[in-house]
Amino acid sequence: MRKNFVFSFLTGILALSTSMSAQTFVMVDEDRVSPENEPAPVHPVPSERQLMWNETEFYAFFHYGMNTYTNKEWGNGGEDPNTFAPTKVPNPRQWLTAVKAAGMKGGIAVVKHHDGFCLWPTKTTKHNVTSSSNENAQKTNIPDSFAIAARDLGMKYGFYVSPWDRNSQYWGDGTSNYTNKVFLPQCLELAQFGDDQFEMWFDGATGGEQGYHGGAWESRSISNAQTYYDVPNLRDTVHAISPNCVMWGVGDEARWIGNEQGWAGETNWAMGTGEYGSESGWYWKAGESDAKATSAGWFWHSGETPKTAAQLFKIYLETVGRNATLILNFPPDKSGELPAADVKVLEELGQMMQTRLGTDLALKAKVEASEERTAGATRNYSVGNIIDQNKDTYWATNDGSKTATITLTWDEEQSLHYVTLMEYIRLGQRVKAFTIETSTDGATWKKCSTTTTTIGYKRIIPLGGSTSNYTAVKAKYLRITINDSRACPTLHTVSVF
Amino acid sequence: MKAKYILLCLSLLGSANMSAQRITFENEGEYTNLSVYDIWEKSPFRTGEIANISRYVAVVDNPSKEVDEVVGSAPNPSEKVLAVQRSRFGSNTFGARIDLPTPIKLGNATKYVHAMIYKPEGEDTPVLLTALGKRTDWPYQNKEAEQLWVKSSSEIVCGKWNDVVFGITTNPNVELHSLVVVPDLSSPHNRTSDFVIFIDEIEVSDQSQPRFSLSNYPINFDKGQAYTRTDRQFTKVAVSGSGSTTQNITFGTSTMYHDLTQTKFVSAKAGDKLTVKLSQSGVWMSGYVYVDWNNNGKFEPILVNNVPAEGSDLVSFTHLNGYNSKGESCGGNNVSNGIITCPVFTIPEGTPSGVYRMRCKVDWNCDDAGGNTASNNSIIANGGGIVDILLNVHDDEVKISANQLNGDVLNTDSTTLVSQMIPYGSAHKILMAPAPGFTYKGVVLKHGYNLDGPQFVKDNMQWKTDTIDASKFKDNIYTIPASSINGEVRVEGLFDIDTGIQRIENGESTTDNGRSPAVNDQYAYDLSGRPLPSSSPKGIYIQGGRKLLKQ
Repeated sequence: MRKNFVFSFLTGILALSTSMSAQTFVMVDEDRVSPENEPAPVHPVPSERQLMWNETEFYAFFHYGMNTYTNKEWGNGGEDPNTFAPTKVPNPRQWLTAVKAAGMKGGIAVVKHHDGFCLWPTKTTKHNVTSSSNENAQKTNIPDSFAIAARDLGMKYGFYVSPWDRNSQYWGDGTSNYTNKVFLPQCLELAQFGDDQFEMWFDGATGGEQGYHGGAWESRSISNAQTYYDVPNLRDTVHAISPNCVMWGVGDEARWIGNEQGWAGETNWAMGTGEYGSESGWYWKAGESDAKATSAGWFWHSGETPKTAAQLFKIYLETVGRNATLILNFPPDKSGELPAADVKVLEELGQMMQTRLGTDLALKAKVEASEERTAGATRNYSVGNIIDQNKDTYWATNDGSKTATITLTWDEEQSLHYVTLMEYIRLGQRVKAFTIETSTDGATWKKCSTTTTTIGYKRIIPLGGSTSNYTAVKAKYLRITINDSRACPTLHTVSVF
Repeated sequence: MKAKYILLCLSLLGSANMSAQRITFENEGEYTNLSVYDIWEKSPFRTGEIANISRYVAVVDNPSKEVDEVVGSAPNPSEKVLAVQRSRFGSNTFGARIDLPTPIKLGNATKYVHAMIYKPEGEDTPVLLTALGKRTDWPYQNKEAEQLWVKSSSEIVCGKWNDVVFGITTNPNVELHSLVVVPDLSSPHNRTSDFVIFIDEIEVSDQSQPRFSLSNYPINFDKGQAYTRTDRQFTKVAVSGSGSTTQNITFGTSTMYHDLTQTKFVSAKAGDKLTVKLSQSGVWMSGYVYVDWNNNGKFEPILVNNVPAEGSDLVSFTHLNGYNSKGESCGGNNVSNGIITCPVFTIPEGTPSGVYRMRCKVDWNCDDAGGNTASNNSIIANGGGIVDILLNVHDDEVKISANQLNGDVLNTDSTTLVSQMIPYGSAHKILMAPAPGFTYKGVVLKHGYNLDGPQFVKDNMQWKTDTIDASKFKDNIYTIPASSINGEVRVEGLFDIDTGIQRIENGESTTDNGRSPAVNDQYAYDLSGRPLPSSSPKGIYIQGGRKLLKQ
């Protein structure tokens, strides 16, 4: 003991003598000059998978499952598997074909809702399609047929899997059994239906209502979804299997827009929460707007009708046109297919999209900017980049220039309805305020009345001032003025329709 | 000098035995490696574009051991600290990475990571903690998975050591192998050079409150923090006692925190039983009431068997770890018809009269008066709120006195007001009696507690003064409002030589409606005998034979 003390004492003296010579920090002299003269990113910036997710823009939600046959929105988990009795083999190819006609680029299929009934033959629970005596149910494997159909149609796909499980005996029992034995294995099973999934959707429900729970019929709840479902490691694992799969909601890679009415704020940052986001948010979590296209619930209910194409187009403008993505719900019916009325309105919406947003007049305009960033070794920041239909080239100003104008000029007077702006968000969301003006003579300008603050991934401005009306503005000139920006502005695309 | 060396050696020996859950940077065994980490996947510090990233950190001498006036001592007197070069090529999530010799396993508990951070210059910024680790039951998983991101709920103050607290939770199967302290959570895009930030004394504990605070009554978010959700907002406090009327305090919803201590107080006496009701929209929130009984600038909860013990500054709550402050088992959804009713609490007998800061908080399962900082249950994310008011513990009677030259302040029975006791909270009339040749301009009222001491103690206003102009007197009598009889009251009569000049107040008639001027007329005239227009300039005029000063 005494020997140890002497040794320790000497060690202490040595440490002391080391510390007696003042130790200060000498900074690393790192100077990384970009030969391309690219603007510095304004953080936070999106990850590659978030960028790819954002580019999906408009996609479908398909709520289908046990509730389709019980006329409920939230089943309690005690439903007899035989209740799931499709009159035909469910047909995800028909779902995706129909929504593709409307211009959608993908879809998310509900494969397990809060009732816990799984639409694939999972090893994690008997409460799945294989337990139904219905022969069409026996042939149902939604994640598999959905993924195959999406790939065939060139569409993106993903799954909604409810963490809350009112059937499971383990859910909310105070142990980790549900997460370890049921939920995480289910997610891994789903991840293996394709490494090209674009989004996995987790509803944040944390219980609080009575459920079957293996026959216990208890009201259970959990306090912290992140830790209970072990979201960080779920995210890590799903990304390892499906690297471009964004984890919605509790996964923290895309956010709920804050309402289910199909609108986002005209000011909408890709950081923060809710309809408007926050400029000061520290991480990228762009908004996704989930909205119902039909008159009843998320699931199919007898007698429901779809919204009109005009109503859906307005939702599109107020979500995709305001820096959010739109996931629009079309519920398959008891036959496992989308009703004919839904298919028809999807076709009409597609035609309306093509008519109103199909011909880009900017492509035949002369474009000029008040400033262009000095070109780098192999790339330039010319204003021509905004109409070259290449999302990887962009216009920018020099560092320190936070205001600028871009003017589009046509040889003849045009009927203009919409202006679409897209920031090069790979370098962060920057623009804080801008204005749009039109002119017939290049001298007298008329300002568009729409609130024009943020742009983000995409902003669509109705030049008539309303998302409800299809109103043309006659103009030979269109001027975009960036009035404020967090740093030098960057735009990769400007379109005019 | 020799003794100092030995003490230091012993302290070094002590630090060698510290667990991995405290990192002082005095001893290399406290960590296995020091480097930097960036959450941004394309950071040059992750892609390999910047090599040898350990160069960006080093253990160095503590650059600041100064005594802080508010803290009363040196917040961080330690010898060694970790320096990190804040590279402008990293993202807003670039930070110092400390690899731990023994992983941290939280189980089901919420723990608090404390870190001292010193940013010598620049802007005040929020900071972030992330941790890297893995599930223990997934052998194939590497230990680089980001397990949590916890943003500090308030900004660190530049030029001082700050103690920042991060509430952390994980799944029980997770162990943390590295901590990453991000000391500058701002985008560096405008920076043209790097700077150094210092980190020290990282500790994982059960203590949710900072080890020291640079301000009195700290809150765990910025005072200007706006609500981040519209479905939950804290709007009103109602305090009622046995036999007294309910005292209501309302406030806006522009921010989550309101310091109303200079404008709002509630009155009570020692021994009173108080019930506090908090108006809160939304559900699943709880109420907490604190009183700083020892006026030390902190709210210090003391709970024994789930119940506030003697001396506890946490006096009432509706839910904390399954119990309310009466020790009753309960759930956490305590909002009923928009009201959270906190259990009654008693102002201890013998509590000296005076003002005490009282904090009412809507939060979720948290006794930290500054608000819950736990990831996913922060007071910000949950839509809670905090309001500070003053609790005025008073006696039945308070002392009122007057002291002035050139006249007397009397009671209305013409007795001289020198020093006497009057009922607390009741209006009191005073009568001005100038000495011959003097008139009065009004009085100054000083009322509250500790009238001879500083006006603010630990940011709590002890007293205030009100100047009452002579125009507020009628027949030389002024009624001191009940609200000013809120402690000791001192009256100072403002007596002055009578110049014969009186002021015309706004709204007083100064015209004669076109009548001819006459001596002793009730209306006013200028010194040339002309009637005054209503917009007459400032100056001396005649009215009823009196000289008047219009200001």
